Amino acid sequence: MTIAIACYLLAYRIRFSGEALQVFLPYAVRTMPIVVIAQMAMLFVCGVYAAMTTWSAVQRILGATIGGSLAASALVWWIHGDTGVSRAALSADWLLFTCAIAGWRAGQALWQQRQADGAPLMIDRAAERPTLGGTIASLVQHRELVRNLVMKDLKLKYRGSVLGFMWSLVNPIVMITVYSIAFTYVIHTPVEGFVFFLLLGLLGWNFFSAAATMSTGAIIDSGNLMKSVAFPRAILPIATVIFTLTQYVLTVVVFVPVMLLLYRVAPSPPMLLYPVFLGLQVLFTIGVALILAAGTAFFRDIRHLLEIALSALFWLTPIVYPLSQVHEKLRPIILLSPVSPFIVAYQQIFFYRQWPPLTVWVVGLAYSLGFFLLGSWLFLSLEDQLAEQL
Amino acid sequence: MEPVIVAEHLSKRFILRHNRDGELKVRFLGLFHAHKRERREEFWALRDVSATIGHGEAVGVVGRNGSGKSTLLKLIAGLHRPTGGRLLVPRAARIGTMIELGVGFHGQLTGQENVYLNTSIHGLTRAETDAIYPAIVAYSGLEHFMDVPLKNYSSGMHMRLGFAIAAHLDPDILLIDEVFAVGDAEFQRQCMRTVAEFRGRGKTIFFVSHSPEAVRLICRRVLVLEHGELLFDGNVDEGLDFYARLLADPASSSHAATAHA
Repeated sequence: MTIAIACYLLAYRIRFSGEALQVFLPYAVRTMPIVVIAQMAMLFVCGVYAAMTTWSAVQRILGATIGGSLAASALVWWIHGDTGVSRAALSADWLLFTCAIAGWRAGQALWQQRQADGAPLMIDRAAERPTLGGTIASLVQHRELVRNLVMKDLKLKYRGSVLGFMWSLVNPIVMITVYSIAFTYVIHTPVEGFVFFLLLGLLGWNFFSAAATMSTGAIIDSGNLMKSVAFPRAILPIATVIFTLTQYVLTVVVFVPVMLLLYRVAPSPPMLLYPVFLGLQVLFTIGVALILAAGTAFFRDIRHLLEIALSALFWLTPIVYPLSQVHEKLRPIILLSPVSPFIVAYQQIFFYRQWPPLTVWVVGLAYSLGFFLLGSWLFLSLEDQLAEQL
Repeated sequence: MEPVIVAEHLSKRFILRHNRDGELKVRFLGLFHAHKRERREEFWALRDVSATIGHGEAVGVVGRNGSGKSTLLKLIAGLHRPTGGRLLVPRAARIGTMIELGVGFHGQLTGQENVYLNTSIHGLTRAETDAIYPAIVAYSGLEHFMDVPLKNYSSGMHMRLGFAIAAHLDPDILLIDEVFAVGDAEFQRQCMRTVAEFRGRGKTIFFVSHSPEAVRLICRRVLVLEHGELLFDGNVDEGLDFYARLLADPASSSHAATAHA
């Protein structure tokens, strides 16, 4: 109940950010009881409150929230007519509500799992199935392994080279120099402070593409380990994502303050959103990494397909050109390319110093949660075939 | 005696894939040429195996190559899922596996770094590793080499470090698969002493081996597997005699081989 009210208010807040609170508040308050009651009723009808397995929980939550939001919209329209009803706010409300309910249920399931631990003394290996809750719990238990795997990769990467970590800075510098020359002198892209703009997109893109490339080897290159030690396999791709994330954060920490100083950009409130969008990108990247890591165990072609897909995606993502330069009709397509919402958000908050628009929020949230859920589901359902595939 | 491992009509089927490239190419060509298609063949590594192992028992498992010994061990370890039957293991017990020594070692990392990486693969925290680290180093006898990258180790040193780590993980159930066979006599003696010590401390041991002497030294009970079926379960001396007769009897092996084919 509280969740529903909070989501609804938050949705209106996002939709009408910038406009005066007084304008929409009366509408929000007037329609709120209907929306909340409809959503609650639908949750009850779909049995979201009952105990169940992970997958059916996802289905039921989606069904309940979609149904609830649709019913709410219909009721609001029927009772109040068209005035003051914001479709965008309703859809944002649906998204927030779904996330909140899913998070709440997952937390509750995890808690129950913890309580139930040790209840039955014996487990049946034949009936054992990896569950999302169980995997998360054992990931927490194996956090030392995640840390060590990340440290191992960092050490291996930099040990024995004279410049060490500096190499990770050289690559973006060279890329930015090349693209800057090409786009300011050859193609004449009219963007003030193009280097800063380019840097934000390029670093964010490099994080994704490095993580995706590396994750294809996460499972198949650890054959021996998979055949002799039992641990949650999802650790391997997740550790590669955290490894590339570490490098990304280190380069951001070096470059972004330098750029802010160089272009005399004052810090502004939207920049506080950076961790939120980075978190979403990490979730999205983990989902993609899980899919690629498990998929490569079945089809080695994925490695080669990924290479091609990445080079196409690079140009479909507004990295070397601003989204505003894209033709109106093409803009939704560019924004819907999977990495775009995160890149656009970084550019918005650092370069344009604005709050990211609602569409970026919606697409970003949808991709990160969608890929994360799809990746986890796929990986967990394939997990015990992986050792036999190698 | 409280049971810790219960197998009921346990079976495991593997799918053997001939002509498998792991590539879409194979699937694509398979559409046109029957002989290029991936051929799948079922292989039953275990068939209807039932046994109950009690707390503190040391059980040896013998059998020819391909008889399903390692598969049974991997099922208990949770590396593969059984195809049929039930296999109960305690939820809370720590199951230690010695299937291959030094797996997950990395040549570029030093001995010390490898120890910390390896223990964390088995789920230990940093503090837990700190506590056993001196014992691991002392046991392996590699005090002077812990800061040297593992690529400079001899294969014997490699193995000693691997066993030292495995020996200090302190599991409740220890699953051992033929890991000592590769070492020299001195190494094997050290390993056998350690395993005997485990047994003395009341740990449950599941010991897969080709060596009757090693099994006799550690176990009082033995399981004999042949083509995935459990042929004998009982006293170690009788079991090893049974196994010796099985190996000596050409009729049984050829009979079994035709039955399998």
